[in-house]
Amino acid sequence: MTGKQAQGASLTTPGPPASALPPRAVVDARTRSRHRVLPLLGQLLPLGLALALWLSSLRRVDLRGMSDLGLLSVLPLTYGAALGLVIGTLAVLIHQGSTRPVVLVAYFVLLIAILHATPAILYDSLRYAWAWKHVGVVDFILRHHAVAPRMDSPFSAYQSWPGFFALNALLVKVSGLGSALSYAAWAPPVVELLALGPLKLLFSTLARDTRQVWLALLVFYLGNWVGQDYFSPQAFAYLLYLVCLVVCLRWLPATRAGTPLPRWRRWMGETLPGQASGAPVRRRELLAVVLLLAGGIVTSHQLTPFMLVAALCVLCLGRHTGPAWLPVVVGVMTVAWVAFMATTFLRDNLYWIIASIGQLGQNTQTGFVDLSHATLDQKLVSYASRALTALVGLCAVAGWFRLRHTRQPYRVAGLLAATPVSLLAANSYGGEMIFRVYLFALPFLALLAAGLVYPRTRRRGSATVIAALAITMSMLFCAAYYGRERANYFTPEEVAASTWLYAHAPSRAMLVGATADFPWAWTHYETYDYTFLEDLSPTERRDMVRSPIPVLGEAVTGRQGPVYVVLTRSQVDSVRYTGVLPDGAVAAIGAALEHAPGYHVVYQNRDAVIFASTQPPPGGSRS
Amino acid sequence: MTLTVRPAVLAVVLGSAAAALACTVGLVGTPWRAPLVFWFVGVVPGLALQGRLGVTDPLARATLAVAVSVALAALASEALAIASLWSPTALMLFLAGVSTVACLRRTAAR
Repeated sequence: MTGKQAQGASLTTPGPPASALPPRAVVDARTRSRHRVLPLLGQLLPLGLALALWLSSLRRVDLRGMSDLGLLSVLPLTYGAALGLVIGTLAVLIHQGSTRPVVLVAYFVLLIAILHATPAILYDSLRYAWAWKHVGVVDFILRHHAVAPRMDSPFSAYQSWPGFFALNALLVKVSGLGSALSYAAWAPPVVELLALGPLKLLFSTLARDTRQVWLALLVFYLGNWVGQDYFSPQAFAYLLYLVCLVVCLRWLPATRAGTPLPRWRRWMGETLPGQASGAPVRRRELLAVVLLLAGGIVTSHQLTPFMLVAALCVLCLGRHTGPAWLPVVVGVMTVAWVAFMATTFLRDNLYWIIASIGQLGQNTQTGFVDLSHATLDQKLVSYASRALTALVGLCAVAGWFRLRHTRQPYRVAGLLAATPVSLLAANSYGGEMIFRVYLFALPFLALLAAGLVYPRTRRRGSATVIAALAITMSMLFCAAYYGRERANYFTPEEVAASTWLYAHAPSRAMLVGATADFPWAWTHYETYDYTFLEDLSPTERRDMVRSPIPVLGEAVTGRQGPVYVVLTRSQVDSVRYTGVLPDGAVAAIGAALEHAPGYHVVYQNRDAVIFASTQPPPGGSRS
Repeated sequence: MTLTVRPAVLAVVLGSAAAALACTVGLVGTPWRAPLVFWFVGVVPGLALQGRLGVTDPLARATLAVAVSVALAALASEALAIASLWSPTALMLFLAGVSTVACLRRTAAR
């Protein structure tokens, strides 16, 4: 009888009272209980210590003291100690192989909190300029009770794929919060926590050894530096994508043996350890769930449906999931949605989408930052992200060979890791495709990387090696994930400037920024026009330092209404990080505008200055 | 065991639906309103529907409950928004109705 059964029996079957038992039996029961409780306490002690260290590390953090190493430069040593303690203990507990899942889950929850809740606790504003835009689209739905996919706006993509925003509009309205700003900052830890379940199920389906499963989870969380877990449709669709794969792989194996590619089938013909044997009882209902989730993905995000279709094609060809029409139906749903809902988006973007098809090298390169003018710290941050990606990739390749050698399942994970790469040939995705490919390949890369260690016979010292590797990964992660926080974090002064701007700028004003890296478009976004100097031609950008006013005039040429130029500290850092404008361009624009006829300062604090081209008409503001 | 679970799920679903509707019409204020709404929209419809799936693993049930709930809410909400008929009250009524019907049909079927 197992421990659980014994426990269950004691709950259902009343046993004799303790006084009726022989004294030795009572002592044995107490000893057994002590033997169970003491190791558990020993396992949880580092958890409590790490929690205390982490909480104490959050007390004295001077965000203004951030260097180009980002948040890492101001976090105290106790933060690193907490992180190291969690990761080191996790490595040991995973290696033991007999640790209760609830204990491991508790460690993963704390790991996620340390990695992803820290900015939400420390910052008094929403992180990432993109997240502010997303709040603005939710605000649009709340005010108009509709979406406008045909509206000309910089956000036609969001209006064409509104699922995530419509969901949040519902949550905001019914919960009486007023704005998604109330909770959007907490999206990263929540998204990462929600990913824990589907990832655990996915890994359990593809691997036999539970230690490989848990280690893969650790590799995933330490390798996920690309920051796609913020308040965004991508994070939402990614979660649904993971659950879709879980349902297909776990409960929807192909029922018919036939395949159009018998050789492929033979090569792919490995048994998945966690796949339900035989047809599930409720197959039709589970198929309906997949289509529901696919509907959520197709209507919420541009890229994820294509990743899903590609993954489903691979799985159906190998007969690991079925029916064979599933990827066809999801593909038709995707095309139909684009054709009917995204016509405005396509009209504005089709030229570069078509131009980037087949441009594999260009699609890969566009995401990398020019480091020629970067400071040493910025170079370190950039190299950390590249080193972490390379480390995960190399471990995955080595793990693939090792799993193959030890006759463990490796083919499905390998193919699912490789499938997203095919989309590099299709699109640059605005320079982000390389990062999205990594995001979608990461779960399977992590599983293969964990296969480098498990399953294997118990070797002394393995836990130490795993802990050392994981701690190295965590250091690279912190540098890569927190390294650009000077641009991602907005001070209260920058938020105050943005609040002033949207309260005072009249409708149809043009808002100009050096870059889009400031809290913008989070309210009434459709009532303004936007221009960013980073989008000017390369020649105009080069002239920015020498003669900023003519270049600015060129950017707002033909403009009848008022123009507001917003310059912020975060834009200065963004320009330094990306090199989209020449060094000193933002300062040059600010200095020139102070003396330029027709422009005057309307708002200023230590982190932001707003210039207006004309005096706003009285009563024209929304304050 | 099954005899105790079914009424418990039914009670959770019906109670959550009633509480969410109370939130919708403003009968519940802070600090309970937001947690109740997030719980209902993010978990309850999936919890009510997943009994029809034959999935027994607790982690899988929890994962499916959340995924199905948010996907259903997102699709329903955007459908009304695209039709320019977006109404939080109608959406909450729809989600409460789906949850209740799914749960009651399940109970009746058994």
